[in-house]
Amino acid sequence: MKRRNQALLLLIPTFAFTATFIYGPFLLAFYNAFFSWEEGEYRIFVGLGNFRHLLFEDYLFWHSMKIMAILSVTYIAKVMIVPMLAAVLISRVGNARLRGAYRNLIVIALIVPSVAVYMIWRQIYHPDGELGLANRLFALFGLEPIAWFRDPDTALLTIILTGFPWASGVPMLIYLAGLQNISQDVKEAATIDGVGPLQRFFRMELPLIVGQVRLIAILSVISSVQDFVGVYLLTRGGPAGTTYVPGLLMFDYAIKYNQIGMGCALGVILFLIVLTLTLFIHRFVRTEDYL
Amino acid sequence: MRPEWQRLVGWRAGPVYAVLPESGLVDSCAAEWRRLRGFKGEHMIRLRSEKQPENTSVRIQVIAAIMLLSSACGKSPEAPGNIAPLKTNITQISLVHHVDWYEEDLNVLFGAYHELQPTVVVKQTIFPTQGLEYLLRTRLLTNSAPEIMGCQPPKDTLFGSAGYLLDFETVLDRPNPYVDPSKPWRDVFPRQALEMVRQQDGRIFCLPYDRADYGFLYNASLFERLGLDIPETWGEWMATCGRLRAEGYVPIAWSGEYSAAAVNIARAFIDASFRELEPEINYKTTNPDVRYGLEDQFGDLGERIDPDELYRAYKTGIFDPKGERMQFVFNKFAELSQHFQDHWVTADGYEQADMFLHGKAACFVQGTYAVDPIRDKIRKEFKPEEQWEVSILPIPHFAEENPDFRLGVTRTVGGFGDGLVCSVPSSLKGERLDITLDVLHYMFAPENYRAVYEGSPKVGAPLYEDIPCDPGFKRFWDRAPAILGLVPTERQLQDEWYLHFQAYFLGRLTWEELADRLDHVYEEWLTRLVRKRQVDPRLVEAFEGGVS
Amino acid sequence: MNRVYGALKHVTLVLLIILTNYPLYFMLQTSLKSNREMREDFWRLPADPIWENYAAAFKSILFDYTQFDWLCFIKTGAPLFNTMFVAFWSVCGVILFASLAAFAFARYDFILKKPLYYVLLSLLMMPIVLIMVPEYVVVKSLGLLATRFGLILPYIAGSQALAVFMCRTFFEQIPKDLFESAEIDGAGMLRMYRHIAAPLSVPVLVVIGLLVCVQAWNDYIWPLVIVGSDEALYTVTIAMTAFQNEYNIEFGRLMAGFAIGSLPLVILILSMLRYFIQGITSGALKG
Repeated sequence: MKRRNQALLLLIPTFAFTATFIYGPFLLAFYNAFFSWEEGEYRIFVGLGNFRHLLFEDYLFWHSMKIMAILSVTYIAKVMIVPMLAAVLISRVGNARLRGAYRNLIVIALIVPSVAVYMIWRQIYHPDGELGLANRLFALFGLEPIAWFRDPDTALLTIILTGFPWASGVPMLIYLAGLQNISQDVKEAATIDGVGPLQRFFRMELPLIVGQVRLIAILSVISSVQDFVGVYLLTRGGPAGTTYVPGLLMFDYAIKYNQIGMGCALGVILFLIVLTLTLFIHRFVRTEDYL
Repeated sequence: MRPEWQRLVGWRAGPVYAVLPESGLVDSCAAEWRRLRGFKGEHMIRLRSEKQPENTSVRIQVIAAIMLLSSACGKSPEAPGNIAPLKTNITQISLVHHVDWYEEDLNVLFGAYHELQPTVVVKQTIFPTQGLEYLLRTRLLTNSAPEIMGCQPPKDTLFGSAGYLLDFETVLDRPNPYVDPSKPWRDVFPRQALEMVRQQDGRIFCLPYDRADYGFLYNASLFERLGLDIPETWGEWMATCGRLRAEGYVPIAWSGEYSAAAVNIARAFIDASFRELEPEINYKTTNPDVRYGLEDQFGDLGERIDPDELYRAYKTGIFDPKGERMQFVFNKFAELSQHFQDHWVTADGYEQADMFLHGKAACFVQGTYAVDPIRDKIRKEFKPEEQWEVSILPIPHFAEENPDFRLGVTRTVGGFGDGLVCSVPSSLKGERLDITLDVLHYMFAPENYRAVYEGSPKVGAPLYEDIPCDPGFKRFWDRAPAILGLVPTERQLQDEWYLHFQAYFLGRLTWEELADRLDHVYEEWLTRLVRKRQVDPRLVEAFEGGVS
Repeated sequence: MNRVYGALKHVTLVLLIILTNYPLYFMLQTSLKSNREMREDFWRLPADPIWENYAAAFKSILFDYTQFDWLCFIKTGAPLFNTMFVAFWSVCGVILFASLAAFAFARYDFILKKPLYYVLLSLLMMPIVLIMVPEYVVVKSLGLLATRFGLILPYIAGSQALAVFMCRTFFEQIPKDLFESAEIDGAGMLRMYRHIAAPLSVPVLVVIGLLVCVQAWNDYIWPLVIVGSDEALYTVTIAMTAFQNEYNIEFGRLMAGFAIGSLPLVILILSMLRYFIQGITSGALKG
């Protein structure tokens, strides 16, 4: 790789924007994590007091961490597998027109705002045997209706199932772009050898899109740890706290309870978790060239 | 129903301005009125609301004219006299709030105000409730807030202690020129209204603004069809619910997901159970007028307990979260909850309203502000022959049949859920502050702002005159009840409290476990109050010193 | 065997597409229902479509067509126009700046490369909830409050890390020989970016644009905070709050609003996807 320090010039706009709008604010949030600050009171320096409270005294912290772990693992699996399947299948459709149509039809679902999507899911999971679609399907197989996210025993499972079949457009496009970049020679070689579709995927395609896989893995780790939109819109962490995630706890501390200091401390903890996981993925999912 | 002319010539802030029908006759009388009363400028305004009839009948015109002239002759005792226009440059005052059903009425009000004070324009903006929290936070912390903002006390008024909000204490001691220049403004507000917005440390950072009383909205037509009487006592309620269930209806749709209504009602139940001990708990109160009425079952007037009283009651065991009084509350609630829909613990607010509108549920709990919208919905969504009548009932009177809880009356739940705060950015000083206060003075004159004084959901309209309801319920609106407040006011602890409540009713906790957890919540609440020095240090020393 | 596999492929895809798109279907279907109809059976098609829902939504997010005035777009800025404006410039900003930075990271070695990259990557992991208030302070001190740029600039900043991260992955897959031969021809950094890196990674740029566009389109809290009470700057999501309050949601109108609001988004996405083509790289090396 060429060593050229002028390349730094290309970074100027990016860093100018991010320094102004994100790093500055984040450093402030980091700083606040060491204060007890309920807006309205004066800021009092408490050192690691907020962290100590969260780790050892807060009755929701570890509880929510457990839930987050379950949700993260399933979330990553969902985001890795289904869009990959869709992308691979689409890339193997011979007819270019049909291929484009399939792709567009999957991507177009993105336009429905998440508020609307969750509204629909609330209806699907309606506990009533007639009003809820899920319960109607159950009735077809002669099963008793269940309460889905209204029941503390099934609430977490409901959250996991939400969004079926999880073929979200953006990861699918990223995989697809990677698959398209595989050069024609390689593809031709594979067809001549007469390998089966599964072998073709594992032997040829997967190794060539490891970069994309890693990208998606990192992105999904990040959003699975911090995201709470689904939980917020569907259950607000309930019933009885069975779907409470740390992201929601952070939101509650920082916005609802006016305890900015505690919220920031939790934010820093989540940041460190994500950072560790990301570095871990970077290390173990290697591509040839860099890092 | 008020006579037609009274509606049209509704006297608002005394004789300062009147809402007049469109008519040449009235116009000339108004001019005469102004001359006689020595007013300069336009002090009468036209009726602006859409409700004005197209052609005002001659009869009404004449009546209005006579009323005007007669009022001009005698000087009525409540007349505040001539209000001098503020001498300022054109100033715009912004009001941002989230109570969208007030928008129209407030616009009329501010239009009238502009006629009175031509140099001042009040700009009103409605903000979604969700965003209001962010708006307060960002704008207040950066000193760029609108002059007047809606808020949700006591959570949002925390900003007050840090100096972001105007402290109304001194303002309330001065008179309000639009009401009675001889008395402090404080005396004009219903006492309970101010109690509801008072912070735990005794200061007032916001004015009471939107009032909500909770009751059961019920399908009156259904009750009539089934021949059901209006239940009053606990036993009658249980019997009625049993009948409804037997007829295939869900007697009560309940939203158990965390909501203001759910917490308010839980709080009211607890209050009712401890009502008998109120003289002991509220030991500081000396004013007999604000005691909970011990004999009157509607005597729901009281004073919010302050941190000292709470501390003492908890430490001496008068208020014991693990005790049998608390258990009694939970038992009673469990009894009532048998008549709720399945999975009520996690049902949300929309769902209960839906079940009601769907004809599945016979009643549901909601604030009085929802009566009008629900009636509108029924009128809009159903054909005339399918429509039904909605009315409102008080919360069942749960302890009267138990001799140990003679005073366990909770027939009403009410409070001022929202408030208006005044931000104090650096720009709000001197003249601008005076103008802002003048706007608030005008707005909160009793004739202008019935929401506070009568509990009406409409700013200027008379009280629910067209809603058929239990006469007992109407009496509560007059009383403007306040409550003891035995559920933590701090949001985080309130959430925790409610989480345990949910867990208990989902069968995840036994009563003993719940009692322990509730006790822990109250202990934490008191610890925080002590840490913030809101409890008298001498009291703390007396109890904790004794322990160690 | 091969035929079975081919059929299976299509069946799976069609099934996936149907299952992925039912929220879209229900959005459209609900937009023609009254609240009552929705309550009674959410899943049935509307028996008596209520087109007034669309009229009401159109009024609130575009303009009041009953008082039509050609100048209304320019004068007040309809919510839909504001949203399109914000989304367009955010997409442009993100794609341009992020791809430049990603190009530098992918092709060159320079001092502090690794630390800088990690610092940038760490952006992705910062919880947005916490930086909202300080970010607002920054926007205010730059005098961007109640302007469209108060939305655009933070959006550009917010998506930089993700976009750089995505672009870099793709830039690195472009064969090195291409750049080497260009360098022999004496091409500079910017020329190589313009003529090799950017054209060869159009698919990923499209994905980034799509992501940023959808985010900017559906964001709610940030516009609310920045725009505040200035009605001329309302975005679609803010205008939609007119259909809901604490005790009532006009589902039909809300969904109609979402449908109208996302129509330009559909056109935008479809036209962007046209550039999502393949085969450029594979051919490029042979020549």
